[in-house]
Formats: sequence, C-alpha cells, structure tokens
Amino acid sequence: MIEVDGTTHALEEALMAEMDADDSIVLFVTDPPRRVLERFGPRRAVAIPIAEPSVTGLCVGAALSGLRPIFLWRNVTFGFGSYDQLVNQAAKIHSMLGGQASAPMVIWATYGAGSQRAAQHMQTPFATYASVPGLKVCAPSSASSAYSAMRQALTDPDPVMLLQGSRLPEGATSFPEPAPPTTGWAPQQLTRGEKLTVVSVGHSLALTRDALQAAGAAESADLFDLVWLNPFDPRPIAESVLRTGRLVVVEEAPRPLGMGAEVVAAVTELVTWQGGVVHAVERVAAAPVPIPYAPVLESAVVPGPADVEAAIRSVLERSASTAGGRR
Amino acid sequence: MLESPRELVEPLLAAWRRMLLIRGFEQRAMELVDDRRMWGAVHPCIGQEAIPVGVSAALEPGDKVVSNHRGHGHLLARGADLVSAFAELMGRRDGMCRGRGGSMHLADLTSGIVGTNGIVGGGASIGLGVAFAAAYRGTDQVTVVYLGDGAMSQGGVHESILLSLQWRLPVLWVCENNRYAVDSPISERLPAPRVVDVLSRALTAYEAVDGNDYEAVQAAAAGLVDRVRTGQGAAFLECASYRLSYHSLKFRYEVRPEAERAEAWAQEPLGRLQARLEGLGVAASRLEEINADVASDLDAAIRVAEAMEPVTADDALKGTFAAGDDAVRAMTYGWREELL
Repeated sequence: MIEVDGTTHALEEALMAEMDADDSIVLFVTDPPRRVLERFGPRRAVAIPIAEPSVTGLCVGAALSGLRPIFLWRNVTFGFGSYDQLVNQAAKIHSMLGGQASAPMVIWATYGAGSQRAAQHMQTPFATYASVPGLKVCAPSSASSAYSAMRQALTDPDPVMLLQGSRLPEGATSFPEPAPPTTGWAPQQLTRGEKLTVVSVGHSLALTRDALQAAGAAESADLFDLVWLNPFDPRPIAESVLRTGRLVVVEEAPRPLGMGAEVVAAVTELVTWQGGVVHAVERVAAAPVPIPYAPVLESAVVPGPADVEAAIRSVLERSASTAGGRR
Repeated sequence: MLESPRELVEPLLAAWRRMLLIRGFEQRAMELVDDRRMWGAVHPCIGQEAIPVGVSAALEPGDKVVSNHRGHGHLLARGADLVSAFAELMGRRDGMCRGRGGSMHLADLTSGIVGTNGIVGGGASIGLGVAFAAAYRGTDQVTVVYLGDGAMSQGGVHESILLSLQWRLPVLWVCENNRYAVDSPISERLPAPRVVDVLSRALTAYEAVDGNDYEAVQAAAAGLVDRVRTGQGAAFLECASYRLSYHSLKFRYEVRPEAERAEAWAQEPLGRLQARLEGLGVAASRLEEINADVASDLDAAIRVAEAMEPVTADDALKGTFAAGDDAVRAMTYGWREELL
C-alpha cells in the first residue's frame, strides 16, 4: 500500500519513485519541495529563477538530449508565457522532425478555484492545452489517480501536462501500488447504471459522486472518470450513451469550447452514426467570466454540487418516456 | 607565385568549398520554389556563409547546433546530408524529417543539428536545455545556438542568455547580425548597432568580428569554443554580415537602399575568401575545379532526391506521438482511419 498525506504528497511520492528509477529525471522549480531536495540534492531538484518561458524551452532542449525534465510551474497561470515553448516546440517536435526525436518532458501545474485568489490564479484552462495536437494532458481525480498519472507521465515518451486540481483531497489516504507502468488514457468507468451517463473531468469527481447521491441517481448512472484529456477516447462513453440516451459532463473549465464541449460533440457523432439518439445533454462548466474574488461571486461562477445535481435531475426528467438511446 | 604551405591553404580551400556548397544549395532551393518542385517559405542565407563554416571549423564531432529559420547553412556547415535535405524540401518520404518539416524545420540529429526553428528566438531556450543536459552528464560537449539580430528583441532570448551565464552552461551564442529583422533596420530596434554593446555588461566572454571574413570568424570561434569547452561558462560571438537575398521567398520585395546592397555585395564572403586564396597562390584552375565539383554534387543530390518516393496522404496522421498512432486514431475514431 502507498500511504500519503494528500494529493501533493502523492505526486511527490510518485515523482521520487521515478527519480529513484531513472537518473535522467530532473525537477525544475522556483522552490524545490523540501523532501525532493533533501533526497536528490540541488543537481536533480534544480532551483530556478522566475523565468518560465526560458526554463520551459530548456526542458525541451534537455528532453531532446536524453534527459526527462519535469517542470513544476506551481500555478498554471505562471505558464501562459511558456505557451510558445509548449505549443510551438514541445508538442510539435516529434512530428516536425519526422520522428527523429521527441520531447519527453512533464509540466506539473495546479489549477482550479476555491481559495479566493481571483481571476489570474483560479483558472482551469483545460481546452487551452488539451486542444494542442502533440501535447498530452491529464487532470487526475484523486490522490491515487494523481500518483498513477505522475508515474505514467514520467515514463511517457511524449510531452505531458499534469494538472493538479485545487479540489483534490489533501487528507491522509492509502491505496494499492498501481499496476506497473500503465500507458492507458481511456476514460475509466467507475459505476454502472441504465438511466444516464455521467462524465467527470479532472478534480470534479468527488463533487460529481456527491451530486449523484443527492439526486438519488448513484445506482442508475454509468459514471466515467476522465483523467486524460488528450489523448481522449470517446468510444467507451458513446457505448454507454447508446444505452442510456442521456449525458451529463462535469468540468470546472469555462464554457465555451471546454472539454465538455468535446465530449458532447464526439459522443453525439458516434452515437448518431450508430443510429442512436442522445435525448438529453447537460454540460456543467464554469461561466465564461474571469473568476471573481469574493467568495459569493466565485461560487456563483464555478460549478458546485447543486449545479451538478440540477443537471442530473434535468436529464432524468426529460425524455423519461424514452428508454435507451438506440432507436 | 609559390604555393603557400599546405597547412594554411588546404583548410581555407575546404572552407571555401563548403561556403560554395551552401550558396549553391540556396540558389537551387530558390529555383526549386520557382519551379514549384518545393513549397512554403525559404529564408536564404546568401551572404552569411562564412559564419557557420567558420564556427563549425571550431567544433568537434560531438558538439551540438541549434539553428533558426535561416538554417540551411548551419546544417550544411556541419556536414548534413545533401540528398536527405533536398528530399525533405521536395516532400519525400525518406526526407530528413519525412516530409513533415520542410525548410524551416530541417533537423539532423545524427549530425548534431538539434533543430532549425520557425519561431524567431525559439531555439535559444532549447539550446540552453541541450547545454544543460551536457553539463548534467558531465561531458565536454559545446552547444552552438545561432540567433539573428532580430531575435535580440525576444524576451525569452534574454532570459536564456542570462541563465546560461548564471549557470555557466557550455553554450556559444552566435549572433549573425545581418542588420535587418525582416524589413526593420537594427537602428529602429536596439539601442546600439552591435549586439555585444547592448549585452556587454552581462557577458563574461565575447567577441564581435567581421562575419564576412572567414578567417576572423574561425579564429574568434575557436578561442571562444575553447573557453566554453573548458568550463569557463557561456560566451557570445557576434558576426557582422548582410543578407544578400530577400528575407523570405514568400515575400519578394526589397526595402533596403540599393547603394547599401551594392556595397554589401562588394564585401560578400565567398569573393573575399577566393581573393585570399588567389593571394596565397592557389591556381585559378584549382578554384574552378572545386566550383564545378560542388555544382555537380548539388545537381546530383537533387536528381537522387527527386527520384525518391513522395509522401502520400496515407502518411498524414502518422508520427504525432512517439508512443504511436493509437492516440490520434482514438481522437479521429474512424473518420480518418483509412489514413492510419
């Protein structure tokens, strides 16, 4: 069993396990985590100036030269100046160079609202990164999912962004050591039901489970945990919607053009190709406004349990006379 | 006149041959664009050939080069394969980058060319990382990063230079100052006409030389590379030159004064090295022979490359991820499966 004190601890444990196994892994961050620094020293836990653009590019060059850099941006907002290095360099290297090399690097960043640090520091830019061809993006849903995602990211041959959600639990927990190096990125089905399909993206999982309970729908839902946003495999979700005909997607990123939009579009395409019908859809997402500061404003903008519960009730109420999605 | 000692003449002849090769490559690339046998942008380095050839003469086989959008010369100076390069420009399946890169993204990792780059200044931080990896591994490898003077307006370039100095990384920054960033003269962009004068308070080792003088470039590069290789930290070499062709063949117009261009042609590096060789007593017939050899090598490479198998639409969705094409297949879930 892996015993950790919250998600950050789980991520550090996974990082240190991989650093033990592979001396090409080097961590870059403005203030190296104490435990990582004590164990691996300043050569492998490198303290950097506040220079995200050049250090993100440094990671690309180091990755092209046989290292496996991991850059902890801290808050995802500090990385927008590095978008060029990620989008124009890291994500395109393998294709653009005709497969001569790839950039196996990890960007680790936190996202999400909840601590009233307002518009710049409370963002959830899923689509900003997941829409970039060549860049893999994952947003774990729990401490154990974060642990697995970190180990997978650090053994992946391509550039990976690991987004750590602000709603992930920070309490003590334990979980079994995950099966050896996974490479899977398909949505994981957590529960099985007949009436509706629910997809939770990133750290919205606990919230979504609570809402299913509150709506009395926990036994009747196919619940999917979407950790990998790119690659995104819509096929298992579409299989489910072919049965249920109802779809709810929950994410904290803002509409429009969020991950929820992609899930709905891809699943609708696949279901209707099969002759199925999607009777009712709800997309739970943040409002398209910069996240405001005051708690009452923040929670009005960011989806909460009541929003998810209302969405679940809404799809269950609609088209109640129609059973199943297949015509 | 007596022929000068072989040890002086032969390296200069080899350099002149390499400079001819680069110019001939650029001239032929321009023809290929005109004939629509290749596509996209070409940024010719005609007029700047002495710089990569002089710098490369100071490098060892294991050293690395990070190039930019005007990068053909940087590759060829390091001995990149001509056929593979032309095959890439002409979209052949076995081109240097399998027809996915083209002129602005030529890269040849086997020759230590970690990449050219379509983003001005985009290679600076990548070069920093290549040098970091060398230092991390404790090798004595040197990384050369080529920048134009235009790149000196990019913030990330300054971050990268400062970090290379702070961390004493084994980088030689080579600034090819051709005085124009597309159409913008340096006087409108930087507070001094020489980049080293803008940076000198930060730099610990630098030189500014006439980039059209092969021997000056070679000597300065050799000194600085030696410093970098022996752990004395990053160095900066500025080479004054002039781009004699258009910025890009996509935009064929000229805003630079005609007199300025005429003066630049009079200072161009191939003619100057040829005059130097003639002064050293090399026979005109020998120079003509080299010139003909180079032309014939280039024409033969184009013939071989053009006969190679072109890429087809079946290749279009391949190679995005090193992990394989399953991810792209999942995200296209059938609607483009025939291409995979």
